[in-house]
Amino acid sequence: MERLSAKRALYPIMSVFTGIVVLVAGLILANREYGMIYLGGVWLLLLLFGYYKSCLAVIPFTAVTAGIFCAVTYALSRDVQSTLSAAARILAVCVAVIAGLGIRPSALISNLSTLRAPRSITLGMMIAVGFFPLLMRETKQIREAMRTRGAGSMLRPRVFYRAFLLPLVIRLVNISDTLSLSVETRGFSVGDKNYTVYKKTVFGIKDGVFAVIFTLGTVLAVIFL
Amino acid sequence: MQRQDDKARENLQSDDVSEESVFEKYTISEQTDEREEYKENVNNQQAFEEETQESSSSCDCGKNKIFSRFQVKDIVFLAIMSAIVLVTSAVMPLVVPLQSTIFGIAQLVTGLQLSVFPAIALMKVRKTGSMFFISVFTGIIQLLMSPAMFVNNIVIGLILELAVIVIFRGYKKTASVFFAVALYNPLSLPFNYVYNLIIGNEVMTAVADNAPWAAVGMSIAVLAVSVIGTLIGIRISKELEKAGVFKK
Repeated sequence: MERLSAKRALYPIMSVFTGIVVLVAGLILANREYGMIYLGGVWLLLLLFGYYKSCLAVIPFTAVTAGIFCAVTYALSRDVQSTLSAAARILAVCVAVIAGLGIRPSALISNLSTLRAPRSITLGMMIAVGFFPLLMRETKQIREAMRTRGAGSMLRPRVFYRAFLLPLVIRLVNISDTLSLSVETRGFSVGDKNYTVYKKTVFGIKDGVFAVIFTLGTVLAVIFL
Repeated sequence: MQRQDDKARENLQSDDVSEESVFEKYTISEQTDEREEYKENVNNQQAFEEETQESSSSCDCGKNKIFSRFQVKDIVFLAIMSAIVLVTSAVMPLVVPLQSTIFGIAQLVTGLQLSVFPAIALMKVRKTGSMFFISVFTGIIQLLMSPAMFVNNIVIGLILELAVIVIFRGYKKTASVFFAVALYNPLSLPFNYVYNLIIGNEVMTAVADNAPWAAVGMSIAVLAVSVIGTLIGIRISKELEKAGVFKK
Protein backbone atom coordinates (compact mmCIF):
# COMPACT_ATOMS: atom_id res chain seq x y z
CA MET A 1 0.00 0.00 0.00
CA GLU A 2 2.93 2.33 0.66
CA ARG A 3 3.93 1.89 -3.00
CA LEU A 4 0.58 3.21 -4.20
CA SER A 5 0.34 6.16 -1.84
CA ALA A 6 0.29 9.67 -3.29
CA LYS A 7 3.27 11.96 -2.58
CA ARG A 8 1.03 14.78 -1.40
CA ALA A 9 -2.11 12.94 -0.38
CA LEU A 10 -5.27 14.67 0.70
CA TYR A 11 -6.41 14.97 4.32
CA PRO A 12 -6.57 11.25 5.31
CA ILE A 13 -9.99 11.21 6.99
CA MET A 14 -11.41 13.13 4.02
CA SER A 15 -9.92 10.53 1.65
CA VAL A 16 -11.69 7.76 3.55
CA PHE A 17 -15.00 9.64 3.47
CA THR A 18 -14.48 10.33 -0.25
CA GLY A 19 -14.28 6.57 -0.81
CA ILE A 20 -17.50 5.95 1.12
CA VAL A 21 -19.35 8.76 -0.69
CA VAL A 22 -18.14 7.55 -4.11
CA LEU A 23 -19.33 4.03 -3.31
CA VAL A 24 -22.79 5.16 -2.19
CA ALA A 25 -23.25 7.70 -5.01
CA GLY A 26 -21.85 5.25 -7.59
CA LEU A 27 -24.32 2.57 -6.52
CA ILE A 28 -27.21 5.06 -6.62
CA LEU A 29 -26.20 6.15 -10.13
CA ALA A 30 -25.44 2.60 -11.37
CA ASN A 31 -28.91 2.10 -12.84
CA ARG A 32 -28.96 5.49 -14.58
CA GLU A 33 -27.93 5.96 -18.18
CA TYR A 34 -25.08 8.44 -17.56
CA GLY A 35 -24.00 7.10 -14.16
CA MET A 36 -20.57 6.10 -15.42
CA ILE A 37 -19.78 9.74 -16.28
CA TYR A 38 -19.76 10.54 -12.56
CA LEU A 39 -17.32 7.70 -11.83
CA GLY A 40 -15.10 8.80 -14.72
CA GLY A 41 -15.14 12.34 -13.35
CA VAL A 42 -14.11 11.20 -9.87
CA TRP A 43 -11.30 9.08 -11.34
CA LEU A 44 -10.04 12.11 -13.28
CA LEU A 45 -10.31 14.38 -10.24
CA LEU A 46 -8.28 11.98 -8.10
CA LEU A 47 -5.72 11.65 -10.90
CA LEU A 48 -5.33 15.44 -11.03
CA PHE A 49 -4.93 15.65 -7.24
CA GLY A 50 -1.89 13.35 -7.27
CA TYR A 51 -3.45 9.89 -6.91
CA TYR A 52 -2.14 8.71 -10.28
CA LYS A 53 -0.41 5.59 -8.89
CA SER A 54 -3.55 4.16 -7.32
CA CYS A 55 -5.68 5.39 -10.27
CA LEU A 56 -3.56 3.33 -12.66
CA ALA A 57 -3.16 0.37 -10.28
CA VAL A 58 -6.90 -0.34 -10.10
CA ILE A 59 -7.33 -0.52 -13.90
CA PRO A 60 -6.21 -4.16 -14.42
CA PHE A 61 -8.19 -5.44 -11.44
CA THR A 62 -11.27 -3.48 -12.55
CA ALA A 63 -10.97 -4.79 -16.11
CA VAL A 64 -10.76 -8.46 -15.02
CA THR A 65 -13.50 -8.26 -12.37
CA ALA A 66 -15.84 -6.14 -14.49
CA GLY A 67 -15.26 -8.45 -17.46
CA ILE A 68 -16.23 -11.57 -15.51
CA PHE A 69 -19.22 -9.90 -13.83
CA CYS A 70 -20.49 -8.47 -17.13
CA ALA A 71 -20.11 -11.84 -18.88
CA VAL A 72 -22.05 -13.64 -16.13
CA THR A 73 -24.75 -10.93 -16.05
CA TYR A 74 -25.19 -11.00 -19.81
CA ALA A 75 -25.31 -14.81 -19.81
CA LEU A 76 -28.02 -14.75 -17.16
CA SER A 77 -30.15 -11.83 -18.37
CA ARG A 78 -29.34 -11.31 -22.09
CA ASP A 79 -29.95 -7.63 -21.38
CA VAL A 80 -27.43 -4.90 -22.28
CA GLN A 81 -28.80 -2.38 -19.75
CA SER A 82 -28.47 -4.71 -16.75
CA THR A 83 -24.97 -5.69 -17.96
CA LEU A 84 -24.00 -2.00 -18.03
CA SER A 85 -25.47 -1.55 -14.54
CA ALA A 86 -23.37 -4.47 -13.26
CA ALA A 87 -20.28 -2.87 -14.84
CA ALA A 88 -21.13 0.46 -13.19
CA ARG A 89 -21.42 -1.21 -9.77
CA ILE A 90 -18.02 -2.87 -10.10
CA LEU A 91 -16.59 0.42 -11.32
CA ALA A 92 -18.09 2.22 -8.30
CA VAL A 93 -16.39 -0.23 -5.92
CA CYS A 94 -13.05 0.12 -7.74
CA VAL A 95 -13.13 3.94 -7.95
CA ALA A 96 -14.13 4.12 -4.25
CA VAL A 97 -10.95 2.24 -3.37
CA ILE A 98 -8.59 4.76 -5.07
CA ALA A 99 -8.78 7.47 -2.40
CA GLY A 100 -8.07 4.95 0.37
CA LEU A 101 -5.21 3.28 -1.50
CA GLY A 102 -3.54 6.65 -2.07
CA ILE A 103 -3.02 7.48 1.60
CA ARG A 104 -0.33 6.06 3.85
CA PRO A 105 -1.73 4.09 6.82
CA SER A 106 0.70 6.01 9.05
CA ALA A 107 -0.85 9.30 7.85
CA LEU A 108 -4.31 8.03 8.75
CA ILE A 109 -3.11 7.01 12.22
CA SER A 110 -1.45 10.39 12.70
CA ASN A 111 -4.67 12.08 11.59
CA LEU A 112 -6.72 10.03 14.07
CA SER A 113 -4.23 10.88 16.83
CA THR A 114 -4.50 14.59 15.96
CA LEU A 115 -8.28 14.27 16.27
CA ARG A 116 -7.78 12.60 19.69
CA ALA A 117 -9.17 9.21 18.72
CA PRO A 118 -8.97 6.56 21.50
CA ARG A 119 -5.34 5.62 22.12
CA SER A 120 -6.13 1.92 22.11
CA ILE A 121 -7.41 2.15 18.53
CA THR A 122 -4.50 4.19 17.17
CA LEU A 123 -1.93 2.07 19.03
CA GLY A 124 -3.47 -1.13 17.67
CA MET A 125 -3.55 0.29 14.15
CA MET A 126 0.08 1.37 14.38
CA ILE A 127 1.13 -2.13 15.43
CA ALA A 128 -1.09 -3.88 12.87
CA VAL A 129 0.29 -1.75 10.03
CA GLY A 130 3.94 -1.85 11.08
CA PHE A 131 3.95 -5.56 11.79
CA PHE A 132 3.79 -6.87 8.19
CA PRO A 133 7.56 -6.77 7.40
CA LEU A 134 8.42 -8.29 10.80
CA LEU A 135 5.93 -11.08 10.22
CA MET A 136 7.44 -11.87 6.83
CA ARG A 137 10.90 -12.05 8.39
CA GLU A 138 9.72 -14.36 11.17
CA THR A 139 7.98 -16.67 8.71
CA LYS A 140 11.14 -16.85 6.62
CA GLN A 141 13.26 -17.69 9.66
CA ILE A 142 10.91 -20.47 10.78
CA ARG A 143 10.91 -21.97 7.30
CA GLU A 144 14.71 -21.86 7.24
CA ALA A 145 14.79 -23.58 10.63
CA MET A 146 12.41 -26.24 9.28
CA ARG A 147 14.71 -26.82 6.32
CA THR A 148 17.77 -27.08 8.59
CA ARG A 149 16.06 -29.63 10.81
CA GLY A 150 14.78 -31.54 7.80
CA ALA A 151 11.21 -31.24 9.04
CA GLY A 152 9.71 -32.22 5.70
CA SER A 153 7.04 -30.71 3.51
CA MET A 154 4.75 -27.96 4.81
CA LEU A 155 1.89 -29.60 2.94
CA ARG A 156 1.77 -32.39 5.54
CA PRO A 157 -0.66 -31.21 8.22
CA ARG A 158 1.32 -32.66 11.12
CA VAL A 159 4.57 -31.02 9.99
CA PHE A 160 2.75 -27.75 9.34
CA TYR A 161 1.23 -27.78 12.83
CA ARG A 162 4.27 -28.90 14.86
CA ALA A 163 7.12 -27.37 12.91
CA PHE A 164 5.55 -24.18 11.56
CA LEU A 165 2.35 -23.06 13.29
CA LEU A 166 3.36 -23.69 16.91
CA PRO A 167 6.81 -22.00 16.62
CA LEU A 168 5.19 -19.09 14.79
CA VAL A 169 2.61 -18.53 17.54
CA ILE A 170 5.27 -18.85 20.25
CA ARG A 171 7.41 -16.26 18.46
CA LEU A 172 4.37 -13.98 18.14
CA VAL A 173 3.59 -14.25 21.85
CA ASN A 174 7.22 -13.45 22.72
CA ILE A 175 7.31 -10.51 20.29
CA SER A 176 4.03 -9.27 21.73
CA ASP A 177 5.41 -9.36 25.29
CA THR A 178 8.61 -7.55 24.29
CA LEU A 179 6.72 -5.00 22.21
CA SER A 180 4.22 -4.20 24.95
CA LEU A 181 7.05 -3.70 27.45
CA SER A 182 8.85 -1.50 24.98
CA VAL A 183 5.70 0.49 24.24
CA GLU A 184 4.99 0.99 27.94
CA THR A 185 8.53 2.15 28.72
CA ARG A 186 8.15 4.78 26.00
CA GLY A 187 5.18 6.26 27.83
CA PHE A 188 2.31 4.78 25.87
CA SER A 189 -0.82 4.06 27.83
CA VAL A 190 -4.39 3.25 26.89
CA GLY A 191 -5.92 5.53 29.53
CA ASP A 192 -7.23 9.07 29.04
CA LYS A 193 -3.86 10.77 29.27
CA ASN A 194 -2.51 13.66 27.25
CA TYR A 195 0.02 12.82 24.57
CA THR A 196 2.07 14.65 21.97
CA VAL A 197 1.49 14.15 18.25
CA TYR A 198 4.77 14.84 16.49
CA LYS A 199 3.47 14.95 12.95
CA LYS A 200 0.15 16.74 12.96
CA THR A 201 -2.02 16.54 9.86
CA VAL A 202 -3.56 19.85 8.88
CA PHE A 203 -6.48 20.53 6.57
CA GLY A 204 -4.91 22.65 3.81
CA ILE A 205 -6.13 24.76 0.89
CA LYS A 206 -5.69 21.85 -1.53
CA ASP A 207 -7.97 19.73 0.66
CA GLY A 208 -10.54 22.51 0.73
CA VAL A 209 -10.51 22.89 -3.06
CA PHE A 210 -10.90 19.12 -3.51
CA ALA A 211 -13.74 18.98 -0.97
CA VAL A 212 -15.66 21.78 -2.75
CA ILE A 213 -15.23 20.32 -6.27
CA PHE A 214 -16.03 16.76 -5.12
CA THR A 215 -19.12 17.72 -3.08
CA LEU A 216 -20.51 19.96 -5.85
CA GLY A 217 -19.85 17.30 -8.48
CA THR A 218 -21.50 14.54 -6.44
CA VAL A 219 -24.59 16.60 -5.60
CA LEU A 220 -25.02 17.74 -9.21
CA ALA A 221 -24.52 14.19 -10.51
CA VAL A 222 -27.10 12.67 -8.13
CA ILE A 223 -29.63 15.42 -9.02
CA PHE A 224 -29.14 15.78 -12.78
CA LEU A 225 -27.66 12.55 -14.17
CA MET B 1 -18.48 17.55 121.83
CA GLN B 2 -19.73 14.18 120.89
CA ARG B 3 -22.54 15.85 118.91
CA GLN B 4 -20.05 18.00 117.10
CA ASP B 5 -17.96 14.99 116.37
CA ASP B 6 -20.97 13.11 115.03
CA LYS B 7 -21.93 16.06 112.84
CA ALA B 8 -18.43 16.33 111.55
CA ARG B 9 -18.41 12.63 110.83
CA GLU B 10 -21.74 12.87 109.07
CA ASN B 11 -20.49 15.79 107.02
CA LEU B 12 -17.38 13.92 106.21
CA GLN B 13 -19.36 10.88 105.26
CA SER B 14 -21.74 12.96 103.21
CA ASP B 15 -18.71 14.57 101.53
CA ASP B 16 -17.28 11.13 100.92
CA VAL B 17 -20.56 9.99 99.47
CA SER B 18 -20.78 12.98 97.25
CA GLU B 19 -17.20 12.45 96.18
CA GLU B 20 -17.92 8.82 95.52
CA SER B 21 -21.07 9.65 93.61
CA VAL B 22 -19.17 12.23 91.60
CA PHE B 23 -16.45 9.69 90.94
CA GLU B 24 -19.07 7.07 90.06
CA LYS B 25 -20.82 9.51 87.79
CA TYR B 26 -17.51 10.39 86.20
CA THR B 27 -16.50 6.78 85.74
CA ILE B 28 -19.93 5.93 84.34
CA SER B 29 -19.78 8.77 81.83
CA GLU B 30 -16.23 7.74 80.94
CA GLN B 31 -17.36 4.18 80.52
CA THR B 32 -20.26 5.21 78.29
CA ASP B 33 -17.86 7.30 76.22
CA GLU B 34 -15.54 4.36 75.93
CA ARG B 35 -18.42 2.11 75.06
CA GLU B 36 -19.58 4.53 72.37
CA GLU B 37 -16.06 4.81 71.10
CA TYR B 38 -15.76 1.03 71.18
CA LYS B 39 -19.10 0.70 69.38
CA GLU B 40 -17.97 3.24 66.82
CA ASN B 41 -14.72 1.35 66.36
CA VAL B 42 -16.58 -1.92 65.99
CA ASN B 43 -18.93 -0.33 63.47
CA ASN B 44 -16.02 1.12 61.55
CA GLN B 45 -14.25 -2.21 61.62
CA GLN B 46 -17.41 -3.96 60.43
CA ALA B 47 -17.83 -1.42 57.67
CA PHE B 48 -14.18 -1.84 56.71
CA GLU B 49 -14.49 -5.62 56.76
CA GLU B 50 -17.65 -5.45 54.65
CA GLU B 51 -15.89 -3.14 52.24
CA THR B 52 -12.84 -5.35 52.00
CA GLN B 53 -15.08 -8.39 51.64
CA GLU B 54 -16.92 -6.65 48.83
CA SER B 55 -13.71 -5.68 47.10
CA SER B 56 -12.22 -9.13 47.59
CA SER B 57 -15.42 -10.71 46.38
CA SER B 58 -15.32 -8.41 43.37
CA CYS B 59 -11.73 -9.56 42.85
CA ASP B 60 -12.84 -13.15 43.21
CA CYS B 61 -15.64 -12.55 40.89
CA GLY B 62 -13.17 -10.84 38.68
CA LYS B 63 -14.01 -14.16 37.13
CA ASN B 64 -17.68 -13.15 37.01
CA LYS B 65 -17.05 -9.54 36.04
CA ILE B 66 -18.21 -8.80 32.48
CA PHE B 67 -16.11 -5.74 31.70
CA SER B 68 -12.47 -5.27 32.61
CA ARG B 69 -9.95 -2.69 31.51
CA PHE B 70 -7.67 -3.40 28.56
CA GLN B 71 -3.95 -3.09 29.18
CA VAL B 72 -1.28 -2.16 26.66
CA LYS B 73 -0.12 -5.78 26.38
CA ASP B 74 -3.68 -6.88 25.52
CA ILE B 75 -3.99 -4.28 22.77
CA VAL B 76 -0.55 -5.20 21.40
CA PHE B 77 -1.37 -8.91 21.25
CA LEU B 78 -4.76 -8.33 19.62
CA ALA B 79 -3.17 -5.99 17.07
CA ILE B 80 -0.48 -8.55 16.21
CA MET B 81 -3.09 -11.26 15.74
CA SER B 82 -5.13 -8.89 13.55
CA ALA B 83 -2.04 -8.22 11.43
CA ILE B 84 -1.60 -11.98 10.93
CA VAL B 85 -5.27 -12.35 10.00
CA LEU B 86 -4.84 -9.58 7.41
CA VAL B 87 -1.64 -11.01 5.94
CA THR B 88 -2.98 -14.55 5.68
CA SER B 89 -6.26 -13.34 4.18
CA ALA B 90 -4.39 -11.74 1.29
CA VAL B 91 -5.47 -14.68 -0.88
CA MET B 92 -9.02 -13.33 -0.92
CA PRO B 93 -8.61 -10.81 -3.80
CA LEU B 94 -7.53 -13.74 -6.01
CA VAL B 95 -10.93 -15.39 -5.70
CA VAL B 96 -13.09 -12.23 -5.82
CA PRO B 97 -13.93 -12.68 -9.54
CA LEU B 98 -15.12 -16.23 -8.76
CA GLN B 99 -17.71 -14.90 -6.31
CA SER B 100 -20.15 -14.38 -9.15
CA THR B 101 -20.10 -18.12 -9.93
CA ILE B 102 -19.36 -19.82 -6.58
CA PHE B 103 -21.30 -18.65 -3.54
CA GLY B 104 -19.14 -17.96 -0.47
CA ILE B 105 -15.80 -18.83 -2.10
CA ALA B 106 -14.07 -15.85 -0.44
CA GLN B 107 -15.25 -16.97 3.01
CA LEU B 108 -14.16 -20.54 2.32
CA VAL B 109 -10.56 -19.65 1.43
CA THR B 110 -10.20 -17.34 4.44
CA GLY B 111 -12.07 -19.61 6.88
CA LEU B 112 -9.04 -21.16 8.58
CA GLN B 113 -7.07 -17.93 8.96
CA LEU B 114 -10.08 -16.07 10.33
CA SER B 115 -10.66 -18.68 13.01
CA VAL B 116 -7.24 -20.02 14.12
CA PHE B 117 -5.66 -16.67 15.00
CA PRO B 118 -8.71 -14.94 16.55
CA ALA B 119 -9.21 -18.09 18.69
CA ILE B 120 -5.63 -17.82 19.99
CA ALA B 121 -6.14 -14.09 20.60
CA LEU B 122 -9.35 -14.61 22.56
CA MET B 123 -7.89 -17.51 24.56
CA LYS B 124 -5.12 -15.18 25.75
CA VAL B 125 -7.06 -11.92 26.13
CA ARG B 126 -10.31 -13.14 27.72
CA LYS B 127 -11.87 -9.71 28.05
CA THR B 128 -15.18 -8.44 26.75
CA GLY B 129 -14.49 -6.36 23.66
CA SER B 130 -11.55 -8.44 22.40
CA MET B 131 -13.48 -9.66 19.38
CA PHE B 132 -14.59 -6.12 18.61
CA PHE B 133 -11.00 -4.90 18.82
CA ILE B 134 -9.91 -7.57 16.32
CA SER B 135 -12.76 -6.49 14.00
CA VAL B 136 -11.73 -2.85 14.30
CA PHE B 137 -8.01 -3.48 13.71
CA THR B 138 -8.65 -5.65 10.66
CA GLY B 139 -11.54 -3.45 9.50
CA ILE B 140 -9.66 -0.15 9.58
CA ILE B 141 -6.99 -1.50 7.25
CA GLN B 142 -9.76 -2.94 5.04
CA LEU B 143 -11.47 0.46 5.07
CA LEU B 144 -8.75 1.72 2.76
CA MET B 145 -9.40 -1.16 0.34
CA SER B 146 -13.11 -1.84 0.66
CA PRO B 147 -15.51 0.24 2.80
CA ALA B 148 -18.15 -2.52 2.62
CA MET B 149 -15.78 -5.02 4.26
CA PHE B 150 -15.12 -2.52 7.05
CA VAL B 151 -18.84 -2.15 7.79
CA ASN B 152 -19.22 -5.94 7.57
CA ASN B 153 -16.44 -6.49 10.12
CA ILE B 154 -17.65 -3.88 12.58
CA VAL B 155 -21.29 -5.03 12.49
CA ILE B 156 -20.35 -8.71 12.93
CA GLY B 157 -17.90 -7.86 15.72
CA LEU B 158 -20.61 -5.92 17.57
CA ILE B 159 -23.24 -8.64 17.11
CA LEU B 160 -20.89 -11.33 18.42
CA GLU B 161 -19.80 -9.24 21.41
CA LEU B 162 -23.43 -8.63 22.38
CA ALA B 163 -24.27 -12.32 21.94
CA VAL B 164 -21.31 -13.36 24.11
CA ILE B 165 -22.28 -10.86 26.83
CA VAL B 166 -25.89 -12.05 26.85
CA ILE B 167 -25.22 -15.80 26.64
CA PHE B 168 -21.86 -16.30 28.38
CA ARG B 169 -21.24 -12.99 30.24
CA GLY B 170 -17.74 -12.68 28.77
CA TYR B 171 -14.96 -14.90 27.45
CA LYS B 172 -14.10 -16.71 30.70
CA LYS B 173 -15.36 -20.02 29.34
CA THR B 174 -13.73 -21.69 26.36
CA ALA B 175 -17.22 -22.33 24.97
CA SER B 176 -17.73 -18.57 24.59
CA VAL B 177 -14.46 -18.28 22.62
CA PHE B 178 -15.56 -21.17 20.41
CA PHE B 179 -18.98 -19.60 19.86
CA ALA B 180 -17.63 -16.15 18.91
CA VAL B 181 -14.82 -17.30 16.65
CA ALA B 182 -16.67 -20.12 14.90
CA LEU B 183 -19.43 -17.69 13.89
CA TYR B 184 -17.17 -14.75 12.95
CA ASN B 185 -16.52 -15.78 9.34
CA PRO B 186 -19.82 -17.59 8.51
CA LEU B 187 -21.83 -14.54 9.63
CA SER B 188 -20.38 -12.54 6.75
CA LEU B 189 -22.27 -14.78 4.29
CA PRO B 190 -25.78 -13.49 5.14
CA PHE B 191 -24.34 -9.99 5.58
CA ASN B 192 -22.85 -10.04 2.07
CA TYR B 193 -26.09 -11.40 0.63
CA VAL B 194 -28.15 -8.63 2.26
CA TYR B 195 -25.56 -6.02 1.20
CA ASN B 196 -25.73 -7.18 -2.44
CA LEU B 197 -29.51 -7.23 -2.24
CA ILE B 198 -29.55 -3.63 -1.00
CA ILE B 199 -27.14 -2.30 -3.61
CA GLY B 200 -28.93 -4.27 -6.32
CA ASN B 201 -25.98 -6.44 -7.32
CA GLU B 202 -28.08 -9.14 -9.03
CA VAL B 203 -25.07 -11.21 -10.14
CA MET B 204 -24.04 -11.88 -6.57
CA THR B 205 -27.53 -12.62 -5.29
CA ALA B 206 -28.34 -14.71 -8.36
CA VAL B 207 -25.58 -17.19 -7.41
CA ALA B 208 -27.51 -18.06 -4.27
CA ASP B 209 -30.99 -17.67 -5.81
CA ASN B 210 -30.33 -19.91 -8.82
CA ALA B 211 -28.71 -22.73 -6.86
CA PRO B 212 -29.98 -22.52 -3.27
CA TRP B 213 -28.80 -26.03 -2.34
CA ALA B 214 -25.30 -25.26 -3.55
CA ALA B 215 -25.38 -22.08 -1.45
CA VAL B 216 -26.51 -24.07 1.60
CA GLY B 217 -23.73 -26.60 0.95
CA MET B 218 -21.12 -23.85 0.70
CA SER B 219 -22.44 -22.22 3.88
CA ILE B 220 -22.09 -25.54 5.73
CA ALA B 221 -18.57 -25.92 4.31
CA VAL B 222 -17.64 -22.41 5.50
CA LEU B 223 -19.04 -23.18 8.96
CA ALA B 224 -17.18 -26.50 9.07
CA VAL B 225 -13.87 -24.87 8.13
CA SER B 226 -14.43 -22.18 10.77
CA VAL B 227 -15.22 -24.77 13.43
CA ILE B 228 -12.09 -26.78 12.55
CA GLY B 229 -9.98 -23.60 12.61
CA THR B 230 -11.40 -22.58 15.98
CA LEU B 231 -10.68 -26.01 17.46
CA ILE B 232 -7.11 -25.84 16.15
CA GLY B 233 -6.71 -22.35 17.66
CA ILE B 234 -8.05 -23.50 21.02
CA ARG B 235 -5.79 -26.56 20.96
CA ILE B 236 -2.71 -24.43 20.21
CA SER B 237 -3.63 -22.07 23.05
CA LYS B 238 -4.07 -24.92 25.51
CA GLU B 239 -0.70 -26.38 24.53
CA LEU B 240 0.94 -22.99 24.98
CA GLU B 241 -0.82 -22.46 28.31
CA LYS B 242 0.49 -25.81 29.49
CA ALA B 243 3.98 -24.94 28.31
CA GLY B 244 3.79 -21.61 30.19
CA VAL B 245 4.10 -19.45 27.09
CA PHE B 246 0.88 -17.57 27.85
CA LYS B 247 1.94 -15.38 30.76
CA LYS B 248 -0.95 -13.70 32.56
